Amino acid sequence: MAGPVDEMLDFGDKLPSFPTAIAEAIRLLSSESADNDQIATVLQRDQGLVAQVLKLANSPFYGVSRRVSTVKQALLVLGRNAVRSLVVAAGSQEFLSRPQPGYLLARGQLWEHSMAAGTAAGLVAAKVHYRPSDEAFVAGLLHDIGKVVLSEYLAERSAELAELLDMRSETMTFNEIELEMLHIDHATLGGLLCDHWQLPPRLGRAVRFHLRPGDAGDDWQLASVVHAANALTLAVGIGLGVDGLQYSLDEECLLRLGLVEGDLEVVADELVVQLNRAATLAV
Amino acid sequence: MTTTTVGLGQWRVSRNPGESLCILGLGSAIALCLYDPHARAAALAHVMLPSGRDGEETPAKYCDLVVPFLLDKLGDAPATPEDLRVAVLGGATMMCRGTSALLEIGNRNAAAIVAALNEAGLVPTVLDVGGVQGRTVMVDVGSGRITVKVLRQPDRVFADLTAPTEV
Repeated sequence: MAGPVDEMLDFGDKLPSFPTAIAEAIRLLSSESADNDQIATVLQRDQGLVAQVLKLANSPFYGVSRRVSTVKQALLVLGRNAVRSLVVAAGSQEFLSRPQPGYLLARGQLWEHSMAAGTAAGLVAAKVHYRPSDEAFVAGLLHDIGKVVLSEYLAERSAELAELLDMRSETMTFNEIELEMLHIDHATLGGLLCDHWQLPPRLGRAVRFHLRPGDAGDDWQLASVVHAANALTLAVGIGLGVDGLQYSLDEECLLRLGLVEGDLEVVADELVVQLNRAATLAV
Repeated sequence: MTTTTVGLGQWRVSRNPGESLCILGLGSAIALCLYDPHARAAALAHVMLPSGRDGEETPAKYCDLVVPFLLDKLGDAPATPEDLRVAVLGGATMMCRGTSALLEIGNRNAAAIVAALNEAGLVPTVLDVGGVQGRTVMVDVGSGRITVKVLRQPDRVFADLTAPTEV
């Protein structure tokens, strides 16, 4: 029997869609025939989006020595793939900032967690020499995008969720509980959303397998970087919802990445410094 | 009532009976509270990691450095350690199905802070650590009462830092 989420996936129009300018920009950024002028013109219809894209483009993950101040510059300096990921990341802020009642997250909490995880993914990538680190940043930023869809379904069945959490909190991870209730977990659904938005396949697979990176095939490294970043963000306590830290850690993948005992604490230390710096700048 | 939030790796001392000190969303980090019931003074640190280097600019962030630092900041501490109430809260850890200690920061934090307290001749009067859930911790400076909030669970209240009472 099809579960509620299977039904939802049969109806693409129920998946969150980007505003027209973003959708059109993503289409053009994926098209070889479109030129940079066309892309810039479409993006500039949404000035909020442009501001957010430029803010991300000037973050440390892109290592750009000179400030990027226009969309055209971003296209030239970073390239189309990076700008496409930035557009998606900037566009996802609206979805990620909403309250997620199924996870008991208030407005802004999932966005805060996502930004911290993006930051952590950039730090982990640097630690294990994964390139490009900006890809890790965007994958970290989007890793929980599936929660945006599953939240509503979990909220509708909160009594069943509470019962499962009470009975199985020591034996089942939260994503296993999602799977039992809804036949899909938020990581898998996030991967489907990335495919739906025509993001680079590797990004979609990193999101899909961020909770079990050993199953990500050739993309196990990026999935493992995001896995570690998510774990660090939860450990630091950013954006903890009803799922808390109820996830399992795939040590084998982290060891394969080259991390050794104590490495993640070094990264956590740096993450706290960066988050406190960001908080200071935001005041 | 004024509520002051103590951020990541930060600390605060208060003698204002109308103030409440708060740490929002503790994951694997530790909330270390030192309370002097005679002076009605509270110190709260948001301790992130088991160990730091000597000469750290932010000793409150590390279990092995925070205890002497916070005792110093509390100042005018009671004459005997027995008079000082100590609470240790937090230290949640992800579910781990392996054997490595790669990311057992929560467990390591909890062990490190208790060891550091013992070294200073202190024993926690309240120890609320572990599990997989995040915690929010509130300390009422006037009464010394600590409230631990966990999503979906009744508040745990430690009145006068002695015994837990569910409300």
